[in-house]
Amino acid sequence: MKYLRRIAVPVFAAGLFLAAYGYYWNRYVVELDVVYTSDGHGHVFPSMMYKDGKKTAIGGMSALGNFLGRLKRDYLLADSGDIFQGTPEGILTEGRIVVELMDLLGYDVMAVGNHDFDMGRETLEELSGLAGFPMLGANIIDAGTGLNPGYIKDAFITELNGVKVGFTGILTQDMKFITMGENIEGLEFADPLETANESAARLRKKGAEIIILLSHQGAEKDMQLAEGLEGVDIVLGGHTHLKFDEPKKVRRVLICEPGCHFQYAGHLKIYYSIIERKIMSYSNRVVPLLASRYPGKKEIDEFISESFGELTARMNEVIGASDVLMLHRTYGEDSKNGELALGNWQTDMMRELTGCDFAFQNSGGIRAAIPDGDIRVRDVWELSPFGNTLVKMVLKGSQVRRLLEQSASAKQSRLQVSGLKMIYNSSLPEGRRVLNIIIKDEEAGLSEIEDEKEYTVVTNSFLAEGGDGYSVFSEGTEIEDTGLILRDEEIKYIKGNSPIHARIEGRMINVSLDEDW
Amino acid sequence: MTDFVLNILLQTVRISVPYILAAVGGVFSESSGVINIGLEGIMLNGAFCSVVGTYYLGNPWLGLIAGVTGGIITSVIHAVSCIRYKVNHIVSGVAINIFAVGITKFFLILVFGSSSNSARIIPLKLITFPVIGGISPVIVITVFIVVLAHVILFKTPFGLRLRACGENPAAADSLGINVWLMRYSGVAISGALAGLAGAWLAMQQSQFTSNMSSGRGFIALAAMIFGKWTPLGATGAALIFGLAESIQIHVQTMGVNIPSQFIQSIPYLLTIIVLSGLIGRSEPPAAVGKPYPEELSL
Amino acid sequence: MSSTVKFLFISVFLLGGCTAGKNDGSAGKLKVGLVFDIGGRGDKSFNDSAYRGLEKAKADFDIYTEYVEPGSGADRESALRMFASRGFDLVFGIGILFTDDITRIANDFPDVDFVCIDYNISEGLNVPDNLAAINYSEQEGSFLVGSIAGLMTKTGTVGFIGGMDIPLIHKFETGFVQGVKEVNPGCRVLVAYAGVTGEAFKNPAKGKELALSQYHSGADIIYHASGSTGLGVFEAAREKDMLAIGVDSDQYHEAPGNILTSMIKRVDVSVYHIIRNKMTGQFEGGIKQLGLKDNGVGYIYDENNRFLISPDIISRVEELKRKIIDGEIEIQLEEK
Repeated sequence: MKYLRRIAVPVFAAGLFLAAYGYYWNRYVVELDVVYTSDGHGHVFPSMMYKDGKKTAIGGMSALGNFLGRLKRDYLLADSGDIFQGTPEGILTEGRIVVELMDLLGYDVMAVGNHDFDMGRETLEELSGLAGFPMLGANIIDAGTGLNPGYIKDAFITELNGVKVGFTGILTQDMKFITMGENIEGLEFADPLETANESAARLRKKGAEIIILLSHQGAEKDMQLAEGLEGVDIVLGGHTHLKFDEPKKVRRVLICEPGCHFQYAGHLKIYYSIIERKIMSYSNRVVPLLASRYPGKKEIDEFISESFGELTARMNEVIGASDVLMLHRTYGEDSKNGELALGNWQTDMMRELTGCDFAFQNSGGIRAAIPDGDIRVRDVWELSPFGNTLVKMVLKGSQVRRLLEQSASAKQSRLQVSGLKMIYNSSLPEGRRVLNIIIKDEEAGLSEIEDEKEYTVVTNSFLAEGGDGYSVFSEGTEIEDTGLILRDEEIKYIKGNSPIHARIEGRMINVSLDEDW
Repeated sequence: MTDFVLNILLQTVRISVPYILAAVGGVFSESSGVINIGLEGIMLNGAFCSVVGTYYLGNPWLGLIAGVTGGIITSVIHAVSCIRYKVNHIVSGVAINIFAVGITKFFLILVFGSSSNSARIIPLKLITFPVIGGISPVIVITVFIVVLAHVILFKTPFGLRLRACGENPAAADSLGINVWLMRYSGVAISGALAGLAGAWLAMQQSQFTSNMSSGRGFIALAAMIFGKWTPLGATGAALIFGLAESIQIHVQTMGVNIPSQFIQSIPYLLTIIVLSGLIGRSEPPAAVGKPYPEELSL
Repeated sequence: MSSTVKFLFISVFLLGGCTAGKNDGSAGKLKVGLVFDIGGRGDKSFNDSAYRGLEKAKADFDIYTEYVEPGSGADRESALRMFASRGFDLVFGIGILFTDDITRIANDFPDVDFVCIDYNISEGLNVPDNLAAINYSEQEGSFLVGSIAGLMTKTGTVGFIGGMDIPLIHKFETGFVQGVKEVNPGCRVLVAYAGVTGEAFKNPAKGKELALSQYHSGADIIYHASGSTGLGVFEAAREKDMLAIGVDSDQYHEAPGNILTSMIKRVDVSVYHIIRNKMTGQFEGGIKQLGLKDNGVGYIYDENNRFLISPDIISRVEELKRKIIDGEIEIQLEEK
């Protein structure tokens, strides 16, 4: 009997505690569902993912609709920017199709991304007027007024399950390097950290209990930002197209990244105690919207074919073929060198069209893979969505060397080259990495580039303006915009030279040994 | 063909120089009655001192002198422990060898910041001869030393006294010869020569590398024994060893299919044969290794 | 050593560890101990490379490190034991000589993880789970420098000089010879070893004579795998104004202008990676064979020697490297 008592009392106490806790949890902890996406880049339709030679269809706005339809409870739907630029649908409708679909899907809010400026401020303004949800960009400032431009909001409050949730948005300060100057004329980009903290404070004042920052500045910078964030609970990031299966936690801030092209839906569940007024816990998953699992949603498919049927049919026209799959990212051993078969193909074509000595293209401007077999108009549009033109100029050998030196130190957007071959060592100090630049001449054979000699160079209009930080291009002389649009030329070229054939051929060799230090 | 032979001969000489110098040094030490298996260590210290000397004084000739001085100092330590304190000569010699490895590495790190090798030093200017071309002045010096050693040891009163101390120190003492002084001189001369041998090694490489004597002191000892404790004999033996090594190098280079291990072992084999008395007996000085005066050795 | 003495040793170390442990700033940090090979820091090779890896790990991660530079053979074992018994989490032994000691000690301290760089893999020797036995595919790196030599020789003759005549060094030789023959089947390769004892790795005078006679026999490029004996090879290269190829680490500065390239073993990277893996709980025991694929070995091409090797040759060599990684070229290791 004594034993019984000795055991029974603690068990009873524990049971009571658990019951109380369970009651408390049920009664006073609300679950808030937030679905988030980013960097859709106009991918209304599923995109192809290539892995180990296998092709998988994934994502698209219709698949996202299917996913959302399966959620049984209310949710908030947010996007972190770069919504339309990237597919013919997105570009030819000037983003209209994406915004209309976002409305249809029930988006609550989005942040403005760098590519959302690609068709000019006016286009963005129109889209903002069209959208049934606010576009955020707290640090986007009109230089004239010192305020956010009218079509961009700094923050937004909504309510879900009785909890007030505040959103604010920021855009990367790199804008002047990564966007055409004319598109952001008269705009300034304030310090993200200060702006975010100020907005968060304002949102708190207005009664927001949970504050979510939609950040379009890349995962790495988000993590740095979080070190100094005050009042922000969650960062939903974008820009670098990364996917965090498990959110990163920096101090008390949760950082989520949902991948790109509407391929994944981030689904964050927040457990919020309405007594203690704080986030108790969370769970997160990033769901791959595989076409096999999430086929399109009927209403959305119908809407697309009704409103944009003619356009999509035109985009699906086959114009030629490639004898090999050409990826737009490097893999395995090739990542070290940075050379892309697609880059070789593009730059060779650029050089052939203009008769220049060298051609350069930024890897970041190569946006999609070209499949083996049939090539459709759509594929080329996705490969070169920007509508850049070809620009000729004259550069000295020493300037070319500086360009390549910069490329050898670039993490993101190395240059693809034609007309020369370079050997570099990325483990050497920056600025001293390029070891050889060799020019192949049919008659003279191989020779090293000469610093004082002048060479004709062709590149795209984005780089010619010093895009991706390649400021050397703006030092060029005899600059001439040919007016040839890269994308159109590509379509013409494929039609005339099918099947196209390009390979990685050792134009860029990195002899470094410690990429992984 | 002549080119080939000349090449082998020059190489033989280059290889033999440290053997010759150290072996002749050994002859002096042992003639006076002190076993000197510390030649290896003395050579190493000499090499190091010559490099440091050249490095700081900026002149390889001064470096050469520094090497010789370093050798003398090291050998005097050996001499003091063997003669003054009557430590077993073998034990003292082994200690010198271990000490040299340690101290050179210690100073190597201290002075040059590396446990592997020193900075490069200015090499000695070569002397050009007709036919054979440029050779190091140390080779010429070595030739003089060998002749001089023979003369000193066998044609001068000093040589006679030295040898007397090695054969019968008591008798020498009774004739008024200062045995201790003689023995100190013998060991010091061996130190000077072994130090020069080390300096040669270092000058050939224009740098000091850790442990660079790599057993040459012991080969020199073998040459000394093979040469029956005479300068000329030791020189001859050293040249035979050098020739064997040169042949071994050429055999390897030409890809002749003789195991290199076999050729490499020839010098040692010869020494064992000599020691075992198969090719004429080789007798050490009678009192070598024995302290004097003996009664104090307890 | 009698067991009593061993016991005393260990107790002394333990006591020392206890007193020192209080205030050494190691609390809560990963503790990494490293025992150097003979030569210790400043050897411009192996040990320095390991030290670089350790220092970089220390700079990048929040770890506590200590190292020991043993003098003679006996210290190795006691140094390893000292670290293990003082509660270090990860203990490195740098060099082939650690093989037996570290295997035994890893069995004695199953809770501590050990790493042996240049582990001597032999049949019948069981590698415990808490020991990462790192072995480098030197033949692969040697193959590449061999192909450089084969492409660059003007006389059609190149040379190889090994230190001690043992299987470890034969790996360098066979790789080199096959690399030469791959690109230049008619090329002659002269091969010589400095000796049959450990002294063969520290005999620069012998190295110089071997190299002089190889140069004299027509070789214009010599690859050495012979420790500081190779410094003599470089001296010969300098004297004759010929080319030589370094080994283990970048040896360009030993004879600037005469060192074509170096076949390097990335001991620094290995040390760093293992510490990083340990930090993230991904330490793996067992034999690790590191080759070109893992950047465990490689050759140097940088601002110093880019004037010596033409870029065409580098392209060709990179192709070969790719083929080795993809398994298209297999390097035969001779059975000796």
